[in-house]
Amino acid sequence: MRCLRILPLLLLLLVTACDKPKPEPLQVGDHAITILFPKDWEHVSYGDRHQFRRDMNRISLEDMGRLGRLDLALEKAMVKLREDGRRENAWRDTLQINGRDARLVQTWDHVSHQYPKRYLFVENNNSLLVVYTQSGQFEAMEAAFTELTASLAFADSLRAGSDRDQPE
Amino acid sequence: MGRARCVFLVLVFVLACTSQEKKAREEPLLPAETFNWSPAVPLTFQPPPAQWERQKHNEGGLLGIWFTHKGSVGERIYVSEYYKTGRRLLLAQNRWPSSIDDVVEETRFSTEGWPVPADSFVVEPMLPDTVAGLPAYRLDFTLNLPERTLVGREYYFLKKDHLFEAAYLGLPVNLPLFERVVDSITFASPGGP
Repeated sequence: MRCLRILPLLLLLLVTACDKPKPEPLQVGDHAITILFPKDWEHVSYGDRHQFRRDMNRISLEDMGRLGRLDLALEKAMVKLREDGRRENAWRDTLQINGRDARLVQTWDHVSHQYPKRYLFVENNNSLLVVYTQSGQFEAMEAAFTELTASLAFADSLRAGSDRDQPE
Repeated sequence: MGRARCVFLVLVFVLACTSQEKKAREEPLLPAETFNWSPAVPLTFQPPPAQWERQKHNEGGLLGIWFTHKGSVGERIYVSEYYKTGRRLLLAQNRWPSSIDDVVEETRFSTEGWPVPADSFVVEPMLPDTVAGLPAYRLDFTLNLPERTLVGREYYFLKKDHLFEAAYLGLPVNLPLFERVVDSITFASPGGP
């Protein structure tokens, strides 16, 4: 009788456990990672680049390749990602992800300090992975970006036989 | 009864005005931000509260931002650089000394170019003042529109050959808020004008 009484609670726990999203493996160029896919965002794979879309909002993960040491590499990467002279850094944080050096950078329009974009750069086996709010309304992407980057973890090895460019 | 209602309405009006004025004097500004419109002369100030919506300002040789008071009558606060002066003086490589007196006319308020007749404005003489500890000029004007009267105030100040302008156009009640924004202006780079 007592077992029957706690049955609904057990069922609820089971459903909750089943419902809990699990990180999924993803190969972003040379980077083997696992992340939580943001709920209700469409996932599109371009190989070296993956994108999550919702309405007009885009969050991308991209393998930027070997661009040198992290701080220099991220400057080069930001030029490639069209962070030109019209934008500037609002702030930058240093952090570690799975023992790897990382930088969290937020940029904005240099005149008005509007239109923020956020980037997470991680140096992984001398190669640069970036997760960033590519386009859309930042406020509508911030929570998904935070959730996605908080769940980011690396598998231990890069793909063998990489033919990427050497550091400049 | 009619008289009592009238007194009540006047009281409500007076209370509303007082509360608005108090808000303009006391409502906290946003945290200070540094703007690198000219990287050699970063300008820092505290923007007005969030109900003043910001926009990029890039017209007539002015580069900066303006803040529009949401839900109001088009009240605006501007903080901008008149970049043509800085560029010209940079090209001239300090061939002549520049002071605010030499350049202030370049961006000084004019009644031209407004979508209202020039005689809608009453413009006061420009007066010497101080912004961020630098010599400045202040110009006050009144804009008399059929529906209401707006007040305008502009400050012009020069830092290292870069001419800046802080301006307000709006209801008299929010002029103290603008004054607090102007009081918050500082320059990160050391040195005088």
